[in-house]
Amino acid sequence: MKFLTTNFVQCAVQSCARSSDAFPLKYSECQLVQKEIDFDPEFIAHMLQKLDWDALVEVAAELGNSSLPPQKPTIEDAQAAENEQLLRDLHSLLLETQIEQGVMTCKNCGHLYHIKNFIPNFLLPPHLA
Amino acid sequence: MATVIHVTKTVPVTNDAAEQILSDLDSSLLHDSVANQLERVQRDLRGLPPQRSEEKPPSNGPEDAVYIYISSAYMEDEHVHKVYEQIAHHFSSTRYKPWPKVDSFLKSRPTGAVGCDIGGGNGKYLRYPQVFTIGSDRSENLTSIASERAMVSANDVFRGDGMHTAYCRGRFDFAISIAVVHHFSTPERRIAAVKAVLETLSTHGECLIYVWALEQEKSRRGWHEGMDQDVMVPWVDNHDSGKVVQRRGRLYY
Repeated sequence: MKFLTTNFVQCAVQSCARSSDAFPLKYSECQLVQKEIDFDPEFIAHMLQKLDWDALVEVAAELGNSSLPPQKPTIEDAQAAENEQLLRDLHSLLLETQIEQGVMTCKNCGHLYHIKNFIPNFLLPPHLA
Repeated sequence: MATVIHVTKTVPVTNDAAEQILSDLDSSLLHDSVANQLERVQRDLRGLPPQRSEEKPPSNGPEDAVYIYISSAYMEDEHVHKVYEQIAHHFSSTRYKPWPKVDSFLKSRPTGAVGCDIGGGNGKYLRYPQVFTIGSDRSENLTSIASERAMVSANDVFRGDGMHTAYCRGRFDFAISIAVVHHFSTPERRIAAVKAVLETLSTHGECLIYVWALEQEKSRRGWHEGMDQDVMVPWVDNHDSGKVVQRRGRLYY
């Protein structure tokens, strides 16, 4: 599970769908691994626009990274030299930082989801499906 | 009848909207019996063509309806999910080529678009470098295969259900549901599955939904070679006292 993906998944329980507490999930007991992915500055600059930055900062802190700025950085020119370091840092955080195993908890209903072998499991038990 | 529909989300997601899409896709699927559905699933999994002569007439009795409703989740589990789990590796090895309509839809997504592939199986559509696609599937084995592809590219994958998805609502630029919806065994569940696809989309998000055609080569349902494939599909906007608006839609036959 890429760190980027934590910005796009929420609790799968139907009654949590409209709750603002169902996203982001709370991440704990996580084991992180860095995996090399090809760097594409345009892609990262576009991705930055799609991010829910508050959720990103919150999850990053849960995973031990408290160095993100509270406000989303803006990048107008992905090819400009002065933006390269920031884009590389974001690339490393969003795509290369991957959760090998861990637990995700819904802050609304408390349901636990597990990540094993990099794959989050959002299947619900029969009484919730 | 259409087997694939390309929808631009313009109005709130309702059951009616989902039902309309299903009926645009193939109205007979909505009224087909569970037995026929399963037979079709199993024939497809074995690589056999649909066999219409053996299809049983749909049963419409009220007792049947109750039975179908109660047992549908079990039937899907027994006849769809377990089958896919068993055949995952063989299935995957035969499903590597993107379907042309899906390919052109995904190729035309802009750089940095965020998408989901619900019921994406082995992740064969996680191959478009300009977009970030999160695939999901129920099958553990297929998801593992997809994960190998996703891990080394700008994509991702998780295990999940097509009716109760973990995708953030309203955040995705595009969604695809390729040969998935027909696996749900009742009209109610198929409506829920289409609704789940629509709910992932942002306001002007676009989705592509593909189902199996009941009859691919016969023109019994009125379509013949040379007919226009682009049509306007009315979309009932429930938030505007049932006013019918035209939305952009494309049907492929």
